[in-house]
Amino acid sequence: MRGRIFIIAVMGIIILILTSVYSIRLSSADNLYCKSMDYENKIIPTSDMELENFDEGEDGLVLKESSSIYLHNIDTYVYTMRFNAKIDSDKALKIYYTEDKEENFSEGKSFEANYNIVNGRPVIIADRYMYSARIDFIDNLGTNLKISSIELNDYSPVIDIEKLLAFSLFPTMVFIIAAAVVIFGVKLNLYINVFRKYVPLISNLVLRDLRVKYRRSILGFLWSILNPLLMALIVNAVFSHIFRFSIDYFIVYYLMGSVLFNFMTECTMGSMLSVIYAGGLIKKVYIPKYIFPMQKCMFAFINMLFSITAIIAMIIITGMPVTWSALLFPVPLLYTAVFSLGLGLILSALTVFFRDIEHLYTVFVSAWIYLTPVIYPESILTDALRNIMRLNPMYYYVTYFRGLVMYGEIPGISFNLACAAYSLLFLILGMAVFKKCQDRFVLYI
Amino acid sequence: MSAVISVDHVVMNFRKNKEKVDSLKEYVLKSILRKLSFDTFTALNDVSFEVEQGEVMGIVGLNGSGKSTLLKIISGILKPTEGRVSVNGTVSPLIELGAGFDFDLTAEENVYLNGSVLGYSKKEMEEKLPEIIEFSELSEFMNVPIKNFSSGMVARLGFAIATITRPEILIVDEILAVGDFQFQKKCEERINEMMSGGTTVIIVSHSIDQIKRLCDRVIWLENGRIRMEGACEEVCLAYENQGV
Ligand SMILES: Nc1ncnc2c1ncn2[C@@H]1O[C@H](COP(=O)(O)OP(=O)(O)O)[C@@H](O)[C@H]1O
Ligand SMILES: [Mg+2]
Repeated sequence: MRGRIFIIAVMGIIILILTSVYSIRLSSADNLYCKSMDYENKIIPTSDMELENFDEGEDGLVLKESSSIYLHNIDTYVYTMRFNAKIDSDKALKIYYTEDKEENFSEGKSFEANYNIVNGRPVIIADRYMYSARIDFIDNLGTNLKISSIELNDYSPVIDIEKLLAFSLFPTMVFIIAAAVVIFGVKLNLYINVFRKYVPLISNLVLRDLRVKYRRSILGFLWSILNPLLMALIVNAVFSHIFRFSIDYFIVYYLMGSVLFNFMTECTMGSMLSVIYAGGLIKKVYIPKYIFPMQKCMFAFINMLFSITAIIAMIIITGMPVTWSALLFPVPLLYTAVFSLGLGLILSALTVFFRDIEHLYTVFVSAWIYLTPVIYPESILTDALRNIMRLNPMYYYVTYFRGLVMYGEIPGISFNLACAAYSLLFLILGMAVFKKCQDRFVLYI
Repeated sequence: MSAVISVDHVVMNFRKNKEKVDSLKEYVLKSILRKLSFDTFTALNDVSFEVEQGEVMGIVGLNGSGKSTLLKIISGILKPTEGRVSVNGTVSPLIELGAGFDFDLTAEENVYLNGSVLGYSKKEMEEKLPEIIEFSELSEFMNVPIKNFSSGMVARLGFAIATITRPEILIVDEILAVGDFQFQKKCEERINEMMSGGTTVIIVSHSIDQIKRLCDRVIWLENGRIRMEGACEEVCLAYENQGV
């Protein structure tokens, strides 16, 4: 058994490395094509690159309402477009493209893109084949544009962490799960039966948690709704002024981020001590021990559902428009729940042996919330920080959650795979660590 | 007859208490200073035996000889450091009665809670509730929080719940000592009744009389080793005469 687990781990790592190389190649554009036109400060229209509707200012070009740049005869797969330019705006561009010579630009073949700043230059990820393209500047009226060239698929590698997670970590996790099912397949039934047997216990324990929590406060269940609302009002009073220009419906923005983040915190903090608190039981009867972190996560999940009522209330109060995509909101909740359960399993197992993890983790969480765009807009971060943030699982879940509800955006496949990759990674790690440690719990509590 | 429980060269080591390192800080410091030591205390040393279907096995020994440790290993609460234990059947461990009782809840609520701790569904417990009430003689107290119960009453409730589901294997650790004489008698009757129904039983008791009344075979543990194993009369006699 040991040997087989070892082989799986090694194969997992090999898959991870190979797919990473592939993902980085994918994102670093692979030197496909490079078109560069060097002029100082100005661009003179050429047959391949054409500017339309620009004013010439003293300090370079000035953007007008319908300024566009045309790129003709691209005829290649464009991964990135790098602007050797200074653009004083973080507003998106809209790019129209065609896939062959005869085609005209149409809404159907267009996308909006944000700048990623790489090595100080704005880079757009296009990731599609283009025959020709038209770059429209949206809402940048009057901005000065100092542009010397646009490089397609430039050489500097753009390591896109999201792609790395989606196309490297995710397949690795799927492989490990598949391998585990093959190895433990025979026992799987047994595990499921044991779990079934203890479902009533979990529900009893969760009910008890709920009873304790809501019996204690006079406002009862209402408190779970009021608490985040009041918190949001305070934060709103303090911060909305600062971020007024960049975030509409700031109070909803904050509430959504904080509800999701608090859910994760409650899961992991609750799980962390759950095994220790259950010491009395664990010493007296045989119970599968993962029940306790699981119990705390379910408890946190139910509490979060109350807080969601607060979000709904706030959406109604502020009159924020909501689209149908909001109905998909359970998806990011599920990702977060799986991730939190995994992390909770790891913490609960380790805390049995090292009690001071409790304090270390508390400090860690208070730093973590600042590395997640809960209270501030992503755009205020420096590029380096923004890149670091893409390593943060909570970033994906919070962004997903808000995207669905606030902006009517349904994240694409790669974003979903990135979310799932983190959830599965932590779930697998959590299960492995917990399984390895659980037999020794009783000796340490 | 087949072995329902087989204990195969089991060794159980505990860390000595003074060696406990339970913080990361301490662990890191001690491992840097190379002060981490792993002194252990061997509570069970190379213990092997088998119990067959329907047999009643008694375990005797002085305090600290490892009886409870052995029972905990058989019930799956502890994992042995070395050796193997295999158990075929549902186990109801009576190491301590009423594991998971919540003393703020009423007796009836605790029936369901304790039932779920032992892995029984609410429906199963609902069916058994009248029988539990009858056996524990607590019908007037079912809606009283058990923090107001005497220890004997708690034991009665715990015993009633643990045995009501007719487990295939019953493990009893000195719990028959609690409760009054009438209750003890009742428990013995219940155990006898279960035995005739084919339940395998392991009993630890300080009352040699009780062992003699109930058991077919007895193991005498001394300092974590089996000193003697055999027919009830024989081992009890030797055990009683050891200090004389
Ligand atoms: N969790 C533990 N940690 C350290 N030592 C233990 C632990 N459990 C039992 N022991 C030691 O193992 C020995 C056997 O204990 P036990 O099985 O309870 O004996 P008995 O039930 O026969 O009186 C005792 O010396 C006790 O101190
Ligand atoms: Mg004992």
